[in-house]
Amino acid sequence: MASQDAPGSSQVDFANLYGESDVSIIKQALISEQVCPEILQYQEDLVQRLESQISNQEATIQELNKHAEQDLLKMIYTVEVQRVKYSLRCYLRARLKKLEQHVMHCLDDPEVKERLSEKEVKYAEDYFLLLGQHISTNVLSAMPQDFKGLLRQSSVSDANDTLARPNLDTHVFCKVLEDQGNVEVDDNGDTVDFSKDDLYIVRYRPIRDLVRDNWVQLI
Amino acid sequence: MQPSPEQLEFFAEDVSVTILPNFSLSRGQETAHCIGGDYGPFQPNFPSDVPLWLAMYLHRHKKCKIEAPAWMSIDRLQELYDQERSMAAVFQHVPYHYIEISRLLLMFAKDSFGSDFHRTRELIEMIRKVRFNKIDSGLQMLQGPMTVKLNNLSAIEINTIRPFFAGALDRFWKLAKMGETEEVPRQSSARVTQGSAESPVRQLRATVAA
Repeated sequence: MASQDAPGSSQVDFANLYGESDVSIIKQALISEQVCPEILQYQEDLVQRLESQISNQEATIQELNKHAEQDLLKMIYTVEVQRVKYSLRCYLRARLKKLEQHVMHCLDDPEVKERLSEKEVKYAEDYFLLLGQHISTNVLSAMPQDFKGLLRQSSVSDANDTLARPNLDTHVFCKVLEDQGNVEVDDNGDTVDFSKDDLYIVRYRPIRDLVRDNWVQLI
Repeated sequence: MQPSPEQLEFFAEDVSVTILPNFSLSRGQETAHCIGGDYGPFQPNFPSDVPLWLAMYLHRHKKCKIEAPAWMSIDRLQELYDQERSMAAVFQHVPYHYIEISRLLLMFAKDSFGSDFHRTRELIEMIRKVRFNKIDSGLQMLQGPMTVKLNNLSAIEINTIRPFFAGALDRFWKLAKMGETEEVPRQSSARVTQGSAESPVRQLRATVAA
């Protein structure tokens, strides 16, 4: 629908911007990770594919060093490898930053912990240990007996209630990739018509599953 | 957390543009096999489609001429500007990264535009202002928790309004959840949007009238 009412060759299609190569996918993964309130599933296959492509390309560059007449080609490859590495770094960093923000939540909730890579779990555990030690020595040691817990506000709390959890009710910008019909965006049953290429600012919680299943893209 | 302006420019550099190379790669290897795709073959004066980053790189080394994208021709921009002005309620379709692309090209590839350079820059600037003007008036409509449709908004425009827009909606939602009346947020939001909208909006109207 939306694509039909905008004819003419002046249009740059989103498909051009977010095509199918791994480079485009990591770019989208990075954007999603940056704007999504919670940490998303780690793209293990994608990162592995990119890492092997980078090392292949670096080997090619080494090979080209022997041929002086291929200088330009070598430079093109070098620039591109740097760009891909940058995207990958940004992606991993964006995840680490979120991990630090909600470290206890990530380790506490098995469903969330599932989404992390092995290295990220290790990082989170180390980070939590340091943070926990720091808080215990500097703050909790001075507290009365019943309020010494790192995870519970007081000894009478019946659950871990000091954990900072991501707020899933924050609003996000998203683009609809495929027609979704009416999507419920409210507890009162209010719906909004999600058509392909529509752009919405909407509460994250109702579209959470759509984002996970890649029907809707965060931007 | 959101993409920084530099990152948006980085993303925009993946857009495809047409170049006229003045070189060819050595024999037996006419195409560049990059991770993001294959580019080339490059033959002097035979147009070739490459991503913007590659075009900029080659241009910087005086290896090619970048063809200005079709949407950046004066006629198209003028048409876009008129449509943008005549329809107050909708945003026209523009390339998602139009601000970044035009900035890069107008700064580093002036020769692509020839004598149209100043007019092109002026038109883009005007289009940008009309659109931001619309966004400002859109923000003033904001009252209470809602889902807002923003078709055809571009990357930088989204980034610009994100903190305020999402923040305001978050607050509305929170207040609605608490069962409070909407009186308080509505007043404060109207004041903020009017305050922030003031100078660019007035300026724009003045230039348009003149």
